[in-house]
Amino acid sequence: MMRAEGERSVSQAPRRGASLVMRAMKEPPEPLTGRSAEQAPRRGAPLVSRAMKEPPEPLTGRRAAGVEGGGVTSPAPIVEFGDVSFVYPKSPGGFRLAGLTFDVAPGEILGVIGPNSVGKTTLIRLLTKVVAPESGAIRLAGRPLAGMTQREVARLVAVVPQDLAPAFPFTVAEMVLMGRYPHAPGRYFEDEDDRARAREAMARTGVLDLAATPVARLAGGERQRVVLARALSQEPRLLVLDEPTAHLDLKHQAEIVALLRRLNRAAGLTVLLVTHDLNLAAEIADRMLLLHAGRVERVGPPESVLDDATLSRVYGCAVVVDKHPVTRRPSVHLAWPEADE
Amino acid sequence: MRRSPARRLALAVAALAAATVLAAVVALFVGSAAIPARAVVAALVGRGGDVAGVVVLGLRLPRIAAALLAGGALAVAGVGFQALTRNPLADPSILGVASGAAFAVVVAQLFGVGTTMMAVLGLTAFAFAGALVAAGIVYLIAASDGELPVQTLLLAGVIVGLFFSAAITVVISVVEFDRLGGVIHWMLGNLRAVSPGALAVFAALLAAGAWLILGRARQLNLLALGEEAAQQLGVDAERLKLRVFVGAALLTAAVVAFAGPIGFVGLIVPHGVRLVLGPDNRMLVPGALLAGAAFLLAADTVARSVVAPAEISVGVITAFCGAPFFVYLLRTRYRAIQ
Repeated sequence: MMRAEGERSVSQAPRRGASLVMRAMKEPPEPLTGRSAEQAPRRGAPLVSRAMKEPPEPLTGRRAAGVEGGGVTSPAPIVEFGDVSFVYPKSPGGFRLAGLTFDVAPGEILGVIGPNSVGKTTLIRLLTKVVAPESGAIRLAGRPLAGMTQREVARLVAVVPQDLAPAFPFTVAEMVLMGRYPHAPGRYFEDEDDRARAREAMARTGVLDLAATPVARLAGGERQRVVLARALSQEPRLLVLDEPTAHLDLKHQAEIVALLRRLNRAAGLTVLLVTHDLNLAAEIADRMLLLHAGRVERVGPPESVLDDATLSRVYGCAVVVDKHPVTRRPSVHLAWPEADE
Repeated sequence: MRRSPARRLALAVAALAAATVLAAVVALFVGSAAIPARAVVAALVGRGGDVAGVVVLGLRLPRIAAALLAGGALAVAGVGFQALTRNPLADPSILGVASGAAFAVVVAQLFGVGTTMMAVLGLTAFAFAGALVAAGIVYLIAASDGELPVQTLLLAGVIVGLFFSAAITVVISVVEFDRLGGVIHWMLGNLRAVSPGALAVFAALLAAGAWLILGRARQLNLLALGEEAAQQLGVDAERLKLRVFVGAALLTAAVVAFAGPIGFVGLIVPHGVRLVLGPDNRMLVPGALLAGAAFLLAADTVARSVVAPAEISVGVITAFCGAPFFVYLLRTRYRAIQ
C-alpha cells in the first residue's frame, strides 16, 4: 500500500510542476495585452472632443457616453488652458511659462513631463489658483478660473502634493477628513456623512487600518496613500498628482499605479499626472504633454510624444526609446555617458 | 472612529471649566492677609466685616478675574501664533510680540495715561500697534520665500524681544530713572486688581480675539499642511492668516496692557492641551482658553502667597515653569518634527 502511494506521488510530481510553469508563463501578459487593446479607442477620444469644440456643459455621466459613442457626444474638457503665460516674479528673465494651450478631457489620464524647473509645479499652482496667470485664460469645467473661489476650485480639483509635512501630529483620519473642508466650510465639526466619505476614501486606498495612527509615523508608501485618500475625500472631478512615485520603491510604485488605474476606470476620475518618471507616464497616461522652455513642446498619445530625437533635444542628453517588453508601451532609456573628460 | 468630536469637546470643556472654578475657589481663600475661611464666605455673600470685604471682594476677586482673563488670552494667542507659524514653539513672548507691545505701553504711559476705561482702551491700542510692529519686524527678518524656518523665526523673535526690552530701559532711564525698578517688575508680568470697568474691557477684548481665532479653528488645521496645500483644499489662506494674526496680536496686546508681558503661558498650555486632546485646533482653542485661565490663576496664587506678605511677579513663576519646558520641547518635539 505504502509503496503504491509513493509511486503515485512521484509520477504526479512532474505534471504538477509543468502546469505551474505554464501558468507562470501565461499569467502576466494576459491581462495587460487585453487592457492596452481596449484602451486604444479611448486614447483617441480627447482628440476628437477637442476637434469638435463643443460649448461647455455639465459633465456628469457624459464620459461613458463619449467613450462608447466613439466621440459622437464629445465631453467638454475639464481643464482648458488658453494661451496662458506666467512669469515667476523672483527670477528676472529666468523662468517663465509662455502661451500654454492644452486641455484635459474628462476621464483621461494626462501625463505632464519635462526637464527640471520647466514649470510643471507652476502648472499645478496655476490650475489650483494658488498663482494667477499673467495673461491668457484658464477654465475649469467650463467656468473661468479667475471668477471661482478657492473653495469652488477645491471641489473640482484635488492635489496630491509631492511631500507632506504636517506641522502637528494629526492622525490619518483627521488628515483625510480635511479633504471634506471645501464641501461644508461652515461646519465646526464634520458630520456623519463627511466621516463616512472619509472612511470610504481610506478604504479605497487601503489605509483604513491606519486611521488612528499619527501621519508622521507612517512610511513613505503609506503616507502617499493617505494623501491620496485625502484627495479622494474631496470628491474631485480631477485628481492632480505631483511626482506620486518619487521616493517609493518598486512595490509601492506598482501599488500606486494599480490604484490610479482603478480610480480612473472604476470611478471615472480624470487624472493629471506630473512626473519626472517618463516610463511611469508612458505606461499609464492616455495622452502626454511635454513641456520645454516654458512651452508645450508636444501633446498626444505616448507613442507620438516619446521619440528619441525629441527627448534627446528637450532633455539635452542621448535618449533611446523602445518598447516595454510586457506592455508594449514606449520605454525610455538614457544612453548613459562614459566618464567625464 | 472613536467618540464623536463634539462630545469629546463637551467633555473636555466641562472638565477644564470645573478645574478652573476649583482653582478660583482655592485662590479666594489664599492670600497674604490672614482671613479665616468663614470670613471669606461671609464676605462673598455680602455679610463680611470691613477688612475681609475689602480684601476678598476688592482685591482677591478682581485679581482672580484678571488672572483668568490673561491666562486664557495668552494661551489662545499661543495657539494662534503656533498655527500661523506652523511651529509648536511659537508664543507671544518668544516671538518678541509681547516686548513690542510692552514698549508701546511704556511709551503710552509717558503721555500719562490714567486708569479710566478709555485710558485702558487707549493703552491696549498702543500695545496692539506695538505688537503688530514687532511681529512685522520678526516676519521680515525671518521670512525667506514665504517660508518661516523654525530657527530663523525663533532667533528673530529673541532679537526683536531683546531690542524692545532694551528700548524700554532706555526710555525709562531717560524720563524717570526712579521708576526703573517698578518697570522691571512690570516687565516680568504682574497681575493686580483692576477696576470692574477695566475688567469688562479686558473681557470684551478677550472675547473678540478668541472669536477671531476660534471661528477659524478648522481652517487652521488645514494650514498645518502648508499654505499651498491649504489653498488647494479650499482655504483663502491670506484672509485666514490676517484674521488669526489680528486675533492673536489683540489678545497679546490686551494682556500686556493689563498685566505686562507674562511669558511662556502661550507655550506651555497649548502643548499640554495638545498632549491630551490632540492637535485639532477645534479642540485646542477652547481647551487652551480654559486651561490657560486655570494655569495662570494657579501661578498667580503661588506668586502672591509663597513670599507673603511680599509677592513676586507672576511672570517669574511662568518663566520658571516655561524655560525648562521650552528646552524640553526643543530637544524632543522639535526634533521629531524635523
